[in-house]
Amino acid sequence: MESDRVKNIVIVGGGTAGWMSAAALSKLMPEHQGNVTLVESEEIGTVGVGEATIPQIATFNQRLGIHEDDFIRATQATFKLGIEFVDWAKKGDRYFHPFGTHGFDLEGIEFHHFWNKLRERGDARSIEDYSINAAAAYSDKFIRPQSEHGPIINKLGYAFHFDAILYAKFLRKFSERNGAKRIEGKVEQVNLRSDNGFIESIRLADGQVIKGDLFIDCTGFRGLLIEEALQTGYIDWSQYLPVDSAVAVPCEKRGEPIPYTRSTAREAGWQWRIPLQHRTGNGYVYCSQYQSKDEAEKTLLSNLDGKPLASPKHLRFKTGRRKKFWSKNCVAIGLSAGFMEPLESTSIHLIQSGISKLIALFPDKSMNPVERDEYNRLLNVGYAHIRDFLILHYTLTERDDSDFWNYVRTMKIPKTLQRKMALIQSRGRFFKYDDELFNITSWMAVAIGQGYTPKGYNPMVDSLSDDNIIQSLANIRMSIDKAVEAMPTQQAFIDRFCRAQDVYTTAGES
Amino acid sequence: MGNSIEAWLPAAYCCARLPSDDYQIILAETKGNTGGSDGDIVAKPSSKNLHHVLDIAEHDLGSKAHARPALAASIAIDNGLHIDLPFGHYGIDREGIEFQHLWKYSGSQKPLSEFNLALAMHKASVFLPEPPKGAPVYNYGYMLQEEGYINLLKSKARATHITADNITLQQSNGAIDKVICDGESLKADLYIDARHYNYAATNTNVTYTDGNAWQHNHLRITGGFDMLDHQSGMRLHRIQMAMERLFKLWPDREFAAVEIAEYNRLEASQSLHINDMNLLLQQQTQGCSNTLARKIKLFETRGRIAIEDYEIYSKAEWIAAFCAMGINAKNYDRLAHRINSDTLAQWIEQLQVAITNVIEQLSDKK
Repeated sequence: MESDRVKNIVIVGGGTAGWMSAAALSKLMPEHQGNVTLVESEEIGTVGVGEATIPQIATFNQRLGIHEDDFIRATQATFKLGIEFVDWAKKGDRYFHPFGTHGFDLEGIEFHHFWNKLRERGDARSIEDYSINAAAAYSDKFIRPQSEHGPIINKLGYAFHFDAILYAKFLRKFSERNGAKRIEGKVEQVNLRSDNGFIESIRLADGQVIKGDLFIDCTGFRGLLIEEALQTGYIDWSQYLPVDSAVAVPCEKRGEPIPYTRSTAREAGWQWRIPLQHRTGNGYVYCSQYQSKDEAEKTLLSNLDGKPLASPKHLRFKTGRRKKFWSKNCVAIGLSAGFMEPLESTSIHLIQSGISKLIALFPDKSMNPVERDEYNRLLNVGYAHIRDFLILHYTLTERDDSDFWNYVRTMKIPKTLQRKMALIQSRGRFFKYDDELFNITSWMAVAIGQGYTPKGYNPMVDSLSDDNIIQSLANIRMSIDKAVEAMPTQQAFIDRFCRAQDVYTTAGES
Repeated sequence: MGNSIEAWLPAAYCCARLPSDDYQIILAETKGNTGGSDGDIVAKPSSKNLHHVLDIAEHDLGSKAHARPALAASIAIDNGLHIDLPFGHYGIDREGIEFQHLWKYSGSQKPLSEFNLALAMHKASVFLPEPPKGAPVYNYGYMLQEEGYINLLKSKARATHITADNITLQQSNGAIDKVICDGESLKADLYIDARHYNYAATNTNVTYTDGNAWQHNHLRITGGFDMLDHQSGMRLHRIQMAMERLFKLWPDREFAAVEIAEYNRLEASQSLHINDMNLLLQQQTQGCSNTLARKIKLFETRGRIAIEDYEIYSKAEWIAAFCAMGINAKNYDRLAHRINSDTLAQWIEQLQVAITNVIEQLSDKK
């Protein structure tokens, strides 16, 4: 019935989650069909989470009809071909988690089995030597793959590093053009309906009351609606992922930006380095049980490339997720839904995933529990898959130089991850769930990168002669080298297609 | 060990994937019933991948297995009724909204099935290998004459072939030590047992639920115990999936427990999805699995299809099954309202006319 239709959507909280939600919903729901209202307060800072992304972000922008180069220019973005992990397996070690793939499957058998066979025969080449992403990243090269580039360059997967605050601003303009209404104000009270406990309205500090059919909670860790008003509850995963604090600071860039994120393991956590066009983003994620706030800040500041551009900003969080992402007529998106450290740049993806599943299960005013349950089931599964992949990085460390690393090296891990690891170790077997984010390349990159190399390979590999395998793999390496040699540098590509205006600092950070 | 497609397909598959100078394949063929499908078997569109591996060209399927293209699987259910599970989509999704929602919102008087080109062609017994531009998409499978298909598989299976009236297995510590075929002893590294695991051999309506199809060096292959499996194309599909799983987890003589467990987990998941569909078609949904209960509730609520991990059936097949069982969506995705109702009604009518025209043109050429 027409009267059941959700017409008023109220998004509480700006920032990346709020404006991504507003952009998607305002695009989806033209003005004459309903109202999308976003309430945010300039007094409340945003976390500006997720400056590094994974390739799925391109799909989100494409669905909104946003041109990639416009987005890059507006957000000071650079290209990201993967993540370099430094000192994770042990000090002095490094490996690369590429987007895209390792090599090519041969005769229907996954590539890493062939690589592993040659490795067992004494070939010392790394699996990274078969990744065009790794080769391009370490040569500072980039090209946007087009069909005419051929099969090697078309294996190049990419995402972006960008300024999340600028992205939110960019999406704000987009949303307002599509009819979304922004209200400046601080929420003072959440009013619940007496009959069913649904959120009826929010009252702002200036007395304004905003009613809605569906409320999207983008208020960050606090969870103003989903937790403080609806008391949904939280599932704590800190026994598996114990880091609980972060300190972040941007610094001046040195030279041309590199096309990858760097994650360097430190005494009680890890440090990110994210190169943008105008500056470099840095942060140290650590466990407060093993390192103080001051020590963490000192660690970060002593490991910057350039002069800091702002005062360090401290954050506290608890890894885990809400018991329900969608409760009554409220859907939590972003940090209000849950938090997982940005080790694999999944924060923005989780926002995107929440929005797309909400659209796929878009409710009417009755908020049918069947659809709500399905949404929660799908999100639960998605969060758990990502959690397991993050834990893999820690549980495989060999480091024993601090209490933190001793804890994560020896902690208990979920059974789902135990099973996956046992299969990887047993001849590199991997079966991806349909809705699992990270694929075989990601799992193998991290497992092998951290020394958890499969014992053996699929015996079917022996159906190809050793000479044949050696020649096939040499051809792949040669093709990668040739392709990378022909690519422009990332800076040259940006200069040609998507250079942002020069700035010295970024609004919202100083 | 075994006969019919259950035995000859694995034999042909192994021969295609394993180099003959390294591997020896022996097929101990049992006598007796060789089928259970009244002479015809349904090959779903996914069988094209299988035939690619087996190096069986479409013209060979035509000339040797009398293959006819199939755009749906016809399944006989109780009370003399039958339903068709289509190999193609219902209508065309628009602005990210699935067609069944648009159809419901439009209030069209035409049944949803009339917007499925694959179903319409199946009913009219006409065929085009590819859908015309702008029409609902589909893929085609085949109806195969079983005997001819088995002969085709035999030609691809360069296996040592023996026949036996009586096969017994000798086990030690849970593993098969050897098999005795009519008194003759055979030893192997891996035993694939396809005996008695087809519908005809058991002739019962029990549903196959044993998740431990692989134990030690002994793998059981089934095309399914249930007649529904045969009619829906799951007989061939089950064997194909089993072989694909086996080769992805191809063992050595150690038979790693973790790999066997993974095979059985995937097999159990597949069986669960197949059983869900079979229970739905048998109208035995009382006390059914959580996955089927969730699917029914979600469809009833607003015509949405819950897709599980390692899903076997397509959304279109589920929609067809729900509609045939009288489970109808009470509502539709409200985002359909984005599209102007007059525009939508006109578009839906045009789509239906376009489908009718395709059928008429093809019927005229028959």
